[in-house]
Amino acid sequence: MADAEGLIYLGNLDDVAKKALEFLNKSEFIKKTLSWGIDFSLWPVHLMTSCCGAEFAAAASPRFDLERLGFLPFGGPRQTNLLVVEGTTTIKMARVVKRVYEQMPNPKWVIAMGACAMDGGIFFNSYNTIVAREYLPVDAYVPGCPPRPEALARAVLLIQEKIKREKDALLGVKNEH
Amino acid sequence: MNIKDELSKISTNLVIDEKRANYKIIIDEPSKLIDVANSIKNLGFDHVVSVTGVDYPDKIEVIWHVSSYSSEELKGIDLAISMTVKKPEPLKQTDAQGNINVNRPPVTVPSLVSVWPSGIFSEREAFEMFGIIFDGHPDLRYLMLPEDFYGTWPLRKDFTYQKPKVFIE
Amino acid sequence: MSEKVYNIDDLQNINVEGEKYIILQIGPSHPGSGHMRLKVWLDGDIIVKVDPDIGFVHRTSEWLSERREWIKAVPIVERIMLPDTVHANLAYVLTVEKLLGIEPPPRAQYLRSLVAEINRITSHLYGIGIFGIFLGSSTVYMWAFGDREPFIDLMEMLTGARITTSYIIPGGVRWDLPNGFKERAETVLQYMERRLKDYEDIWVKNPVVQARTINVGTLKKEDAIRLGVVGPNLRASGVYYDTRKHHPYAAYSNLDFEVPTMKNGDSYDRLLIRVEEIKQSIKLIRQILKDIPEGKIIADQIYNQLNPVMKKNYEEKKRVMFPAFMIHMRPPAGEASAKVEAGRGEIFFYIKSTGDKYPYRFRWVTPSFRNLPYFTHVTVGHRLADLPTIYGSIDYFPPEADR
Repeated sequence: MADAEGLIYLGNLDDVAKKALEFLNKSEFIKKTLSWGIDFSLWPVHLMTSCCGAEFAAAASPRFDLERLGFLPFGGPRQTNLLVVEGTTTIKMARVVKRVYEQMPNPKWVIAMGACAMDGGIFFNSYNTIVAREYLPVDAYVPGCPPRPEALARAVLLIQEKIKREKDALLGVKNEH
Repeated sequence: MNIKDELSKISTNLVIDEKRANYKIIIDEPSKLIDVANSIKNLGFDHVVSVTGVDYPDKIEVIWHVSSYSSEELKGIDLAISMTVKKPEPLKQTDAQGNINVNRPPVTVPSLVSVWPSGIFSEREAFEMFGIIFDGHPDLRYLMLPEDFYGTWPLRKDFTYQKPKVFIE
Repeated sequence: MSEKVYNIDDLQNINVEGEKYIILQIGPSHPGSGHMRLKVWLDGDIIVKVDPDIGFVHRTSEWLSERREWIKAVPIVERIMLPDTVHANLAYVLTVEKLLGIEPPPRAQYLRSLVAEINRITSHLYGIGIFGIFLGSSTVYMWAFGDREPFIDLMEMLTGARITTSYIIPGGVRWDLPNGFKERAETVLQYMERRLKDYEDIWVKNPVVQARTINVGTLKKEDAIRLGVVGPNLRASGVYYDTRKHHPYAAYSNLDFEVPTMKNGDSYDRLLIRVEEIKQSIKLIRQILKDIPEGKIIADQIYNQLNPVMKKNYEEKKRVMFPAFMIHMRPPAGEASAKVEAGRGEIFFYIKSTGDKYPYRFRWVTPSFRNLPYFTHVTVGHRLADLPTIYGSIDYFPPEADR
């Protein structure tokens, strides 16, 4: 039967694809190329959750120019792989941030920028705020209130090191969070 | 035009701080509010700067700060219209688990949006923060707070909050 | 653009039910500065109704400030208005000074005006840059944010911090003018004057910009008054009102400056007025640096509270350290209000004290919050493509509006 044959045929293709992926995963050259490619195209989604966004904007502007590290802010989450939580998130905003994070394709990283995103900062006892690590897997923290643009650059470098270090996990990575 | 005389014609309850050019009209009867507001508007006070409440143990003071853009003489003057309403007793209810829920009923004052449309967002803010229902406001909804805070009135002094354990599924 | 003029009272009566209208949710994640959501009802691509949904950055500053010591509210109000920190700081301190009955010395007044004007330029450049992003011109964003940096350097030189300066304290300011500040400021001002010509050539007089902004988002004078909008947006509609003139604070009553106003009140005028105000601020900074009187930078009431080490520090380094008075400050019972002209408009403070460690009622209204009627009123009748232009032109900063 044609249908049954088709199913068997597709099943085989699935197996082949899995084997190919395993082969590629083990190849050192592919891993290196991939991590090199990704760490200089960290595109953050433009998600100014709070006031640290002013320093984020200064970091993307000519004086500090984080674009030389491949840091190019984008409007839509579908083209991005880095989420910078810029300062305090309120409960209302945290739901949006979570949703934006879910819309981003894998692999993806998160920077918690500013004291508020780290541990509440000056708004620590407010009824309406929430720290980033309670709803997102954070890869790098930037202390400061607000952090200077250089501090954000440092966090980008930390993420690049992390990508190089964890290059084994780049292919076939699953969203565990 | 002597602003002091004009204002004392409108209301006898006038508190003046001449050093800071602050004037405050205290309204004792809610029914007078809109009439007084209309006469103040006719003087030249044409926009609302802020609408807010001050919470006391047994009452809430609602304050409209108004100012003027059109009249050259009034530009430097801050005028506050203040009205105090009594708070109803909070209702305590015990639910099935034995928790005591304190329900703090809102208070009602007349809305001044029909006089000064510029107060439309400020009155919505005062509503969600203090539980002041502005009677006659065309669009009285929550403005800033998410649905978690419905009925809690955060800026009242007896507001207590518990951060929910799960913020986001 | 349709000719029908809606007013805010009509807006409530528009029946937006039924299948005729498309509902579009814009935001909360959008390329603007900060987040808000606009729920837009569209008839074809004509905007019928806009409902702004704000509060994504509502950080409860009023609630927090009522639970802190008086001086600790300064960092909170600064963080709410990040591009405009000095004005928030100044407005709060003016209110507290009215309660305390302290008058700062003339030199401190001039220094306050100086740092406020530097901040106004950075705030306007921020607004122009974000407007560029909204019109799709990243060149202007890059230029404006790049040119903001020299002024931020000036602030850093004077106050020790890039943006969140906490420079103004009750009774005066924290640092005196550093050596070489005047020369450095003159260099930066000359640079900015040169750059403003470039801005005019490539951005303000650009036919594309003019085509997209002229007669877009017009707010007439009487409507601007009725809706209570503030700041450069109000003056773009032709209303002569500036808190610096009508409620003089700091050194503005001694300074000579003009308040530019425009006629039409469209998006282009709102752009032009920011450029004009930058020119006025440059003039003001020159004037302040020329006229600044010698003397103390802190009021005697505060100076007497300093301990001997602090006094020595003040004499040698011209730096005011915090006396213990600041944290134990208990202004006498009463209420005070103050207004300050910030970059985006007028900040209003109303504080009620009961003579306690904390403010009893801490109320402030920020300019962006008062510019909200632009969304409900001005956008109606325009095409959807004009919405970013209007949003960008009013220089709306959501963290500031939500407080």
